[in-house]
Formats: sequence, C-alpha cells, structure tokens
Amino acid sequence: MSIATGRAAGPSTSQAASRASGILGRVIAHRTDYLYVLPALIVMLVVIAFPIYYTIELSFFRTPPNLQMRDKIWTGLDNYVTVLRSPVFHEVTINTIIWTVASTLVAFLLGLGAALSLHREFVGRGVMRALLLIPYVVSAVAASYVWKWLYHSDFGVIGAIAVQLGLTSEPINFLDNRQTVLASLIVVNIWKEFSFAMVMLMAGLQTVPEQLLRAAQVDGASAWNRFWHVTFPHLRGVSMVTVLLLMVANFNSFIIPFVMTGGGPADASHIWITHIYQLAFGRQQWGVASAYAVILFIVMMTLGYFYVKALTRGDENRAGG
Amino acid sequence: MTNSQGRAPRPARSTRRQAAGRAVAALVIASLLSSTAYAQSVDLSQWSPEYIRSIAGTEEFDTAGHCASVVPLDYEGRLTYWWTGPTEASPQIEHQINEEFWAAWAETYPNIETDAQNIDYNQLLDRLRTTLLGNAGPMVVRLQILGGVEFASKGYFQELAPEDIGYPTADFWPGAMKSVTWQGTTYGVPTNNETMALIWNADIFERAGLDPESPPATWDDLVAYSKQIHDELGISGYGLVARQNAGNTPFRFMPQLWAYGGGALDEAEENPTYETVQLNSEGAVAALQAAYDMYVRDKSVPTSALTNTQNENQAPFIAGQLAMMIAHPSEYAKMVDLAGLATGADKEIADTVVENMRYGLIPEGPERRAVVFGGSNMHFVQPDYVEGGFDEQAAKAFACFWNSPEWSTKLAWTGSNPGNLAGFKTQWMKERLDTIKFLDVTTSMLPSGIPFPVIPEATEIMNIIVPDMLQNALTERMSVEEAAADAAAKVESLLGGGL
Amino acid sequence: MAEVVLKDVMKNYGSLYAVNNVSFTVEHGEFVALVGPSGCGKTTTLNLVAGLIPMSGGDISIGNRIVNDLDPKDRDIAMVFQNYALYPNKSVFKNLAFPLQMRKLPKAEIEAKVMQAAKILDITHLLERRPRELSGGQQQRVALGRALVRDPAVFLMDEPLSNLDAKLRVAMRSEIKRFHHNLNATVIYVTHDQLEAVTMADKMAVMHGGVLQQYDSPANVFANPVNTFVASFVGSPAMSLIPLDVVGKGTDVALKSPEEGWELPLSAQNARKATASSQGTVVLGARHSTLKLHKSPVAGSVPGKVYTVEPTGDVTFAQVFVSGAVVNVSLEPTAPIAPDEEVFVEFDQQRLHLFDGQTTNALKAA
Repeated sequence: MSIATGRAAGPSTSQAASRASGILGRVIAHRTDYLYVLPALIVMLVVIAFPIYYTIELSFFRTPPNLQMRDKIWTGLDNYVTVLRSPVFHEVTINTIIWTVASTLVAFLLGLGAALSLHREFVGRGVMRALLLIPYVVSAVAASYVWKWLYHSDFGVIGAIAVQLGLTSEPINFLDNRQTVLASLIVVNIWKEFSFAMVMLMAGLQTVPEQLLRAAQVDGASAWNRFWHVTFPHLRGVSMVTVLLLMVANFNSFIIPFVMTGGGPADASHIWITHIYQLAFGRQQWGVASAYAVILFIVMMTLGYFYVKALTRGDENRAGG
Repeated sequence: MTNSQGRAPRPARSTRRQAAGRAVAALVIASLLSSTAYAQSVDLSQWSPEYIRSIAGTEEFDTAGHCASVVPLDYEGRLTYWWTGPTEASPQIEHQINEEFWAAWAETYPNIETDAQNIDYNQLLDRLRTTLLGNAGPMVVRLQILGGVEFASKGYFQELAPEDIGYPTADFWPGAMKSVTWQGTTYGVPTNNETMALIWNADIFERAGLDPESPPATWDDLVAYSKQIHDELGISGYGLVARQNAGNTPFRFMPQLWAYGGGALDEAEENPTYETVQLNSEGAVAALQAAYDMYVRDKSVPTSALTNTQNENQAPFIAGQLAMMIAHPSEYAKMVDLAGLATGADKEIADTVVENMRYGLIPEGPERRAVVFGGSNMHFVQPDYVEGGFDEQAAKAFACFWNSPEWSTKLAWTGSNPGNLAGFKTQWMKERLDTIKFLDVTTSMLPSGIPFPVIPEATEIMNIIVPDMLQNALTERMSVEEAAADAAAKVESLLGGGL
Repeated sequence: MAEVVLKDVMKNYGSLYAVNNVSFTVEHGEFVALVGPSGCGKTTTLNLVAGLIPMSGGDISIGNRIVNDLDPKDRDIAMVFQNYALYPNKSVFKNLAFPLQMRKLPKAEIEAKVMQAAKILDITHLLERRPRELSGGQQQRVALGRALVRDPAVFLMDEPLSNLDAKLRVAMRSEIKRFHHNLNATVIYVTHDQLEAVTMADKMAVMHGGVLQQYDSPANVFANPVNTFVASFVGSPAMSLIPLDVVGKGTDVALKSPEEGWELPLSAQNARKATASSQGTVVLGARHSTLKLHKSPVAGSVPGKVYTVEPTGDVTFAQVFVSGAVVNVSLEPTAPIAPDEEVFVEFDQQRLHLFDGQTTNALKAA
C-alpha cells in the first residue's frame, strides 16, 4: 500500500530549482532528525570512512624504510602491478581460496549434521547442545595456542597418542610441513566455527512446517527423503545466509593462522589477511600492503553484494507466495 | 634520488655508505691509537678471560661527582624516558637493581621530574613509531642495538656522542659505535653489550660418547656432534631456531653464516660499506648447507625448528631432550628457575641438567669465529618530535648517570655487560665475575662480535629475508643454492628501493 | 476400497486421555465426519488412523487388516491437510507425482496416473505451476489430487476447508461431495463445523473430551440427539435448552420453572419420559423451528420476554428469555416484534426433547 503525499508530487513535477528547494526544504524541516544521527555518523566517518580513504591513498605510494611517512613517494599503480604479478600473491591467493572454501563447506555440513541430530528430543540433549557450542564461544587465541601444542611436531599430544597406539613410529609433523600445515589449520578453523552453522540451522529447522513432514511421511518418504525433499529445500534461505556469513568470516580469518604458524613454514600457511599484516607491520611496506588491502576490500564488497542480493531475493519470494 | 615532495635530494646511497665507511674507519684507527687522549680505560688487544679477571675491581668511580661536571646536581627540569626494563620473566635481582637505580637517580638529581616507562620488548618499536608520527615521543629512549637506525635515517634522533656526556668514545666497543653511526654522525651511546655463547649438556655428551667438557670447536664439528647424539640417544642434538619474522633466528644463524665466510652484506668486514650482497657467496651457501644437513639429512634437530624461537628450546633442554643451544648468559639463571619449578621425577632430571650445563665459545668456521654483537643504545629524540619539548640538561644528566661505569655495570647484571668499558674495572664487575657462572666465558666472546648491517633495511633483511631463506631450504621448497640466490636477489631489490 | 474399523482406540499423554475408548465402523464407500469442538480429539483420532502417532491401546483395521503397527505408507491411506501441505518448491505435476516416486513406480506409470488424477480434478492446465502461484481452491484440488493419485483404500481429510473464505468453502464443499460420489470413495473427514458435517456426511461421529458421543446419520443425530451436548452442537442456531423441575405424577405431569413459577403441562408420552428423570429435574430442548410466539397466552405456552430480534432477510430470529434461559424462535421476516416485549412461547409437544437434568442424557419413556 503506498501513500502519495502532496509534497512528493509537487517538486517532481516542477522545475529543477524548486525541486532542489524541495529537497533542501525537507532536510531543513527534518534537521533535528539529522542531529540525532550525527554522533553515529561522526563515529562512522572517523573509524570507518577515514581509514578506508587513507588506505586507498597509501596504496598509491611507496614508503621506503629511510623516509618518514609524510615523505612517501608517489608510484601510481605500481604497487598494484607488483602485487598482482608477484608469485607469492598467487600462492597466497590459492591458499586463501582453499582455506575459505574448505572451511566453509565442511563447517556447514558438520553444523547441519549436528543441528539435525539435536533436533529431536533425547536424554542429555541440553548438555550436548552446550558442549557443542563451546568451540564457538571459546577465545580464538587461547584455542589456537592449545591446538598448537596438540599439533606440536616433537612433543604434541596428538603425535604422542598416535605413537602410543602404534599408528606411527615417530610424532606426526602437522605444522612444520608445507604439505600438511594448511589442512591442519583448516581442521582447527572448522572445529571453531561449525557450531555457528549449527545454531543458525537449528533455528531454521524449527520453522519447517510439521504438516509438510507429515504429508511426506504419508506419501511414503523415508527419513532421508523427508530431509531431502522437505527439510533441506525449506532451509535454503538460512543455508545461504549461513554459507555467505561463513565465507566472509573465513576470508578475513586472522587469529588461527597468525597465532599458530605466523604464515609459515615458508609461506605455506599465509592467507591474504596474514600476508597483509606481515607486509604492513612486519616489513613496514605500507604502500604495498595498502594495495593488497584495497584488492581484498573489492573482493569483499563483491561478496557482500551477492550476500545482500541473496537475502532480499528470499524476501521477494516469500512476499509473492 | 629525489622524491615527489621536492626536497633537496639526499645523497645517493653509495655516497651515504662511503661516508659511513669513512667514519667507521676513522673511529677504529682512533680507538687503536688512543691510549692517552681521553684515557681509554681498557686494552682491547689483551681481551681474554684472564685479562678480564685481572682488571676487575681495580678502580673506584664517583658517579655523582663525574656527572656533576656535566650537569649540576641541583638542576631543575623534567625528563621522559622509555626503555624495556625488567619483566615478570626477569630474575629477582634485576628488579632489585632497577629499584636501586631509580632511588639513586632521585637522590642524585632530586629536582629533575622524571617520567620513566618500562615497555615490553615487542611493543617498544611500534609505540615509538606511532608516537613519533604524532610528535609525541619521549625525550630519551633506549632501544636494542639494531632498532635505532630506522629512526636515525628518518631524522628522528639528535646527534649524540659519548663525549657529550663526559665519556671517551674509545671506552666503547668499536662494533657498538658502528651501530650508532649513520652517515658519518653518531646519534647514540651504547648502554650495554652482550654476546651469546654455546651451551651444552655435558651429561648428554658423555652418554653419546663425546668428551663432556669440550664443546664442538668448529661448525662442522657441531653438525657431526648433533648427528652422533641423535643416532646414539634418539634426542635432538642442536636447538636450531628457524622461525619466520622472529629476532631469535638471525641471532643464531648469522654467526654460522659469518663463520663460513658469508654475510648478508659486508658487515663482517673490518670497514663495511653495506653495498655488496653476500647472501649467495660460497660461505653463505656452505652455512645454509650445514643447516640443511642437520635438519633434512640427519634429522638431528627438532622438527619444530621451523616454528620455534629460543623459548621453545628451553623446555626440551631442561628436560634433557636437547643437547646444545646458543643463548644469552642469562639462560643459566633461566634454567635454574625452571629446575626450581619442576616436581617429582622431572625435578631429578632438571637438576641433573643444571649441574651439567656448560658454556663455551661459539664454534668457529673456516673464515672466522663470529657472534652477533648484541646490546642496546640510548638515544635523544629531536625536539620537534618530543611531547612537551626537549630538556637538554636533564637528558644529558640522565644519560651520564645511566652510562656511568657503576650503573652501566649494575644495570647489565644478569643479561649483559656494561657498554662503558670502564665498567669492567669496577668492584661490581668483580662481584659479578665471582657470583655469575660462566660470565668470564660469555664476556670473552665480545671481540668476535659483529653488529648487523647498520642500515634501515636491516630489520627486514634479518627478520624476514634470512629466516625465509632458511625455511625455503629446510622445507626443500628450493634447493640450497636456489634459496641463497633467492634471498640475495630479495636483498638487492630491497636496497634498490623495491619490494 | 474397504471398511475401517476402530475398536476401543485409546491415546493418552500421561494422565490426559486425548482419545478415550473410541469405537466405530466405516463401511465401504461411506463418508464419515468426525465432528466436535476444538480439543475434542477428532484430529488425534484421524492421526491414529493414519498411523502418524502411535496408539496407546485398541485396534484399528483397514480393509480387514489390523494396521496397528504399520507405517502410514503401508496402510493404504491418503491424507488431505488443513494447510494443503503442498511441496512449495515442486511444480503441481511433481507434487502429484511425489507419492508415486516414493513407491518407485516406473516413470511412464507415474505420468499416466498423474494425468488421470489431474483430469478428474480439472487441474491439467495447472501442472507446471508452483503452489504459491495457485489460488486457495486450486491448491485444495491439487492436495486432493495428490491423495487421489495413490488410489488409497481410505481418504483421510483434516479440516481441508478451514482455510478458505466462506464463499469458496461452500463451493468446495459441493466439489468434495461430488468427488466422493464419483469415486465411491471411503472418506473420514474431520471438521469443527457441524454444518459441513451435516451436509456432506453419511454418518457423523460427534466427539467431546476424547469420548465418542453419538455415531449416527446426520438426520438421526439431528432428530434424536443422545445428550444435551450433541443436541446443542448440531443444528444452527443451536437447540434452546431450559432447565426445569418435574412436578406432579402419573399422567398429570408438568414442568415447572424454578425461577418464574409457571407450569407447562406435558403430553402423556412426554410425561412418561419426565418421570424417568433421576433427580426430578430435566432440561427441555426445542429447536427454533418448532416454537411459536404469541402476544397473549395460549395452551401449552409459557411467558417470556424478548431479548433481541435478528432479521436475516429470509427469516427473523427472536431471542426470548424464558425461565432465565435464552430461547431461539424463528419467525416470518415481517413479524411485528420488538425487544423487551412480553410474549408467550408455545411448545410443540411432539417435537420437544427432554434430557435428564443430572446426567444430560436423553430421556426415554420408561
């Protein structure tokens, strides 16, 4: 239902001048509203807008170690070219893709499984739910240190148990091995975030219409068929939101790789965000790091665009039904 | 090389290095010649454990009296000072001495209002960088030996020489003076210097069939000993440290590199110009090959070396699972502390380790015996960048007081040695020699000390490029030659202004 | 097609008996309505027949087979739900095909059966649409089609018309009735609307509090309600009920209003019924069509006061206070009557009902 206001009709049909005064007039009429928004707006500008602007500006400069920041040297798009051409960039990008896709997919599937099994009543369900939530709420830094020691190549608990059980003759090398380090970190990441997916999907499962499941049961659908034809399609909206949120979080995920391996050994566990951190704060190469950050920002905005689109598309569907 | 700001072009790199080279050459010659001017206190040519013992406790110094001649004791002013002081992990005695110092300072110069901040090692550089950007830095700051050059090159530090606070330059190690010189000018005073030594477990040596009382004489010997220990006893021989972006790594690898005749640049030469890259020299490749042999071929070092710092060597060592490591003099005190914390069966093992802990000279290589010249320097910040303005008299009084033979020695009690070499003559030096085990050995390494290249790119070279080179070789991502060549190319590019 | 037999069926949740000893038989091709107010247990009973919830006791057989332990898919039933329960992401065709797919029938056979069902229900032109694109009535037909396609022994319908607006409901009612007639299907139909039950069913099972009150043809339930609950449930407007005392004996029996004191003499047959009351109190029931209003007293009438007058166009209903109870009387649309008027209500002795004042059961001549 739309309400046509006389004011809205007026300026849009008259000339540009009076249209401008119409908008200005509305702004002035609502000036107290803007005052209420002003504090939040200022905070946003300072904390978000200005750093973004400054980073973009920095990305066009070089900052050699022997010059003060205010004497930085203009290089135009050189930093971007350097970044996009460097072989380390390609390696790190592949790492990031593997990291993001694997973490998101497995965490989602695990969360779905957990949500489904916790959906029906059984003795100890509440306790189980609380236990499974622990990885998500625990401090990422603390968890990273504990896992680091679990994985330790010489004295790690996992390796020690494997030796005791006779599975291997010497402790397993998880983290000091270029081939296995990324996978080992991904396991920790999945462990940390699968219960987020679980919680989201549990909420979604509550909304599956009971009658639809009954109809499917009467129609002769087995438990798997009921899940596949009724439950899962119904969860599509929640699933998409969850997957997208997980992907964005994983893309920006910093703590686990940084604390556990610092990107090593030999860059094997560097993802974009840790690499940028090292460039900026380890190697003082602010210009190049900023260029990296801008590229990452663009990728994030694209992902964000699809996220919002997917969300609102769901709304349109529901409205039409 | 000009920049877009339109300022006067700085001298080209080569002339800058030539100037630095000339200045250092002048200093070295001066220090060797001067035995009368400014009364050089000690004779560096005689340096040995015996010499050190012979001069200890042979002279008295009146700190307050001397500094009064620099700045009157009743001077009224204010002082701000940042440094990394004793932390939770530091031995009790350091905390004690720290308190004594501040009490003595307040007593000697009661009218100087002092704001001193003890900042964690890893945070100090970042905080200084940030506050200088905002013109809100402290007046005086003490930084680890390689930390100052980046600020000096950016023009943040004032000119400062030992003479400014009443001490002769000849009373400071030439290597230490190298580290406070930029483009021919001195911009700081060395407060303390230390070098590391080789530590080994005599008990493990004996059980592995090695002479328990003698360390490996050369680096090749060290590789062989490490293998023998691993083969005989199944534990790690040498505590290799190869973590990326960590200061510990170059401190242990560079001595090896220098010993074989390599280097990052030409910092090991008598008069370095910091122009030629030496990471792909024969010597460098040989050193890298030795590390490769230990890690990949013999597997005689911890697999976790790639992510270890020296901290991660301490627990295995005290548990008798590691035979050799390179560390500071204060490591002994640390081991005693750890043994004190052990309980049950572990306590017995720990006590045995402490009993059998030995210090020796770092092995030598075909070219030389080398160790990283470590320590700290004190700097004065340019007035423009100091919060609340710079009080020159207060700063000088403080620097004179801190770097006096008395306090220079006391403040370096467990972990270091006085930067002011006159300190070696004080009664406190004698007390240290009597009470601190192995001090005579660790001080005797000082002449072999080589500072890292004194250029602003040094942090990146030492903390990033060198460890990367190690990791590339040890993970077999590249062959040894390729890793060295790759690292050399990176340094070239870095010095040329690239990434 | 087969018959459905419920015998002593029980369902309890702890101490709450949702379905309490319900027994009835549905003959082949019969349309049986389970009626009652909300919470009476009718939907639970239906779910028990379907096998969607486990029984606590009793037996259910479908087509001479005891089905107590069988899954819904093995009971040869089909269900139509209140919310249609169509699969929202499937086309109408796929919705209809789904049950056959689950039975793993060959593709050609599925297609044939779906087209057949679609033709019967006149939804062939909708086969490619999604449920959200259909109107309520169309969705209802698709739901019927999905049930039809299974060719079941029994159709179970759970308030299928409750979601439709009044006009559509009337139209769909006749469609379902035609559906039942054309197929000669056996149908068990749950509804809370007695009008639906009465117009569509061959037999009605009136339930209340989990207990089956009366199982009979609508006509019989209407004419001979077995207790006051059934009496007031079936028929709209409901039968008026007036609690009165029995006075007199033998053939000289009258009903006395404890509030207003008047007496209504009873016919011989009614007198015999009245004297069979357990405590000497009865509830007098009379449908609106059996009552007449007079301005002055006549034989067999009692005084009352008009409360409201409701003209509906076809007929005017007057609600009259009699002995503290509200009595509904239907009149000609032009009857000159106004609220607060003093009137006299005349009872038809042949068509009035008497229920025991204590047990509420219908009284019979002793």
